[in-house]
Amino acid sequence: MSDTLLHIDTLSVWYKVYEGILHVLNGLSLHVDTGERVGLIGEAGCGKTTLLKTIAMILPAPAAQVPAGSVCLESVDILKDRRRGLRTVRDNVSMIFQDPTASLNPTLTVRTFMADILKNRPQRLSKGDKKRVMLQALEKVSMPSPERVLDSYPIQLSGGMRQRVCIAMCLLKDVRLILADEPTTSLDVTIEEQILELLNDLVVKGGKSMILVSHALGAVRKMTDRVCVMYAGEIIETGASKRVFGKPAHPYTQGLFDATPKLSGEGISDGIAGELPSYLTPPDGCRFAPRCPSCLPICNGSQPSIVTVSGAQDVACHLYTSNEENGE
Amino acid sequence: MSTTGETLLEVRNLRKQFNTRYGALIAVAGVTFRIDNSEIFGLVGESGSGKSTVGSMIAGMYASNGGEILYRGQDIDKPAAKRSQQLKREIQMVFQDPGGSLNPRQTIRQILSFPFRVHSQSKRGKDLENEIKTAIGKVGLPLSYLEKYPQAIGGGEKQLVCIARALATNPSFIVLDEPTSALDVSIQAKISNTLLELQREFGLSYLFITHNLCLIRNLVHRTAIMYLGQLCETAPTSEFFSDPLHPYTQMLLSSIPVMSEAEEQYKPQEVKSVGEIPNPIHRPAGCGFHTRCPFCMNICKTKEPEMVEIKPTHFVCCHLHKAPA
Repeated sequence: MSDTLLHIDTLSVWYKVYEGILHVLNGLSLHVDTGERVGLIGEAGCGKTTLLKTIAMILPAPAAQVPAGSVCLESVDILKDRRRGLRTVRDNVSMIFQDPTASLNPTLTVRTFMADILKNRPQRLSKGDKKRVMLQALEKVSMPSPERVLDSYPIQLSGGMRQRVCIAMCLLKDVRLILADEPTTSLDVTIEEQILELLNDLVVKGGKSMILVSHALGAVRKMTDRVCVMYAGEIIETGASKRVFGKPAHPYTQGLFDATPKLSGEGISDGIAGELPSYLTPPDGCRFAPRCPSCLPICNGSQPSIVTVSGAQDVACHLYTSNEENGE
Repeated sequence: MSTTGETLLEVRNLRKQFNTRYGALIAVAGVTFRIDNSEIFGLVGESGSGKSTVGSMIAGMYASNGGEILYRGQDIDKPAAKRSQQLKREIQMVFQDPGGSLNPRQTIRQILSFPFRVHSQSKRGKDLENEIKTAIGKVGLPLSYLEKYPQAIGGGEKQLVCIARALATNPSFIVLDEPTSALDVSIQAKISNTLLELQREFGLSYLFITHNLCLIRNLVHRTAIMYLGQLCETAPTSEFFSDPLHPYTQMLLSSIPVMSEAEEQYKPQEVKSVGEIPNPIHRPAGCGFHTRCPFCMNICKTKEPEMVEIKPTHFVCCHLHKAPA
């Protein structure tokens, strides 16, 4: 856990649409160390996928603009030097998407997908070697009867098996960073557990880094070292997963956790009133201010800076800045 | 959170088979349960377990291939087209995807006026207007929403419109088919609370179909677990979580990722999740769960277990558990 693999600094991403400009990501900073598992949580539409797409360099080209910020992967700024950036990203990053059905071409067999990835290896593989590598990858994801799967079309596989294929495809290249965009949302709870455990094993054993985006807060708690809470294109709280889940600091995080039904059955809170602000005209101050139950006058005017509370938890909230000025 | 103990709906040995290109798909293979007046009954299972099919048959989307559905003692096992107006008023349904179940070309006013025009005495003019206003007020949406189109409002609000539409006919029983699974947690909380309030206010009964066990824990009075078209276990919710008996229930409970150490203690001893739900076209012989069961015995592979009452109101369908003598 020493050197930084990915470093994102004050990144902004805008989308140009008919109505104007959507200011989605707003000065977001994030870093991922080698071998670190980072969780990313937040409501739908808070920019989680946009962030992952920026890292993977697959933002829709003319619509999305990056007006500010840098994304450094292995000390290459992939936004400035696109040519070298693409090479670095393709060698080091691979992404698992939410819907395995939509991310596999229905007209091709698993063998074709996998062969496509192997084509870009620096050293050429013989036909036999290729097959061996593919089978190994499928075995690693504990796929039942890999030989048969290799010649199957996606439609012949179940949802869990399709997601296993996607993960196996990630393993064909020795990538250093895995971007998992809600890998289990479309799966059942028993299958979800299997897939998450598998992914976790592969990441930990392979010494890889991972950014895990998920709505399943429990899964994020179990599988990540550090968690970032996103709201409306900003990271509002980050800290060690155990800490954040144990004692959330930001009012949004608290509301989010309260709204999640618990197994202990203490009832459900009313959720957080209101909805995400429009990205066309986001609030000037804290983006959460219009929904915040403990909003201060200062919140509507100025953006909160990031403050470290109780040792290792970074929070962007005026509640904590003013506390500090008052000497706690 | 109390029920009157009077049976509202009873399902006996319900079966449904779909004939597909690949053979007969037995979606529901003999399901028996009852729902009391003012009770929230939860039906849980993985996708493909047949839980939505059960809900659809109760709501009259299609007829069964055997068994009975009794509503207030009267057999209603027929598709909606053959049901009486009175019955259609009584049983309503809310679907999983609120976007897909509202007509995008109609305003909320038009959507909500439809059930009144069909079922109510007040078919036009001021009366209708008042009814629509009451309906949207019941779910706590502002009147200005009546002029909006579904695409202009959020997912949670769409679902509230669907609930208002279901309530428009003054039903006593609503089938909720995964009403919150397409929504974010903060919105899910709002919808669940609205549903609970409405249930208490109007004494409604719900069949709550979901795969989210945490929701079940917080909303539902009695729970049934469904696997491959059959019920594995039925019990009052509190007992269901404190003393799960069927291995599949234990597997489900131990698979839930939870958010705190305190919740961790509610999980049963780890039953590791292995395998996937079999194809219902090729059902395994014997107990449907034996292919994944960690406690599988020889008898499980050949003989189907029967539902037995282990404790009062706690039923389980597994060879491991014998009825108390």
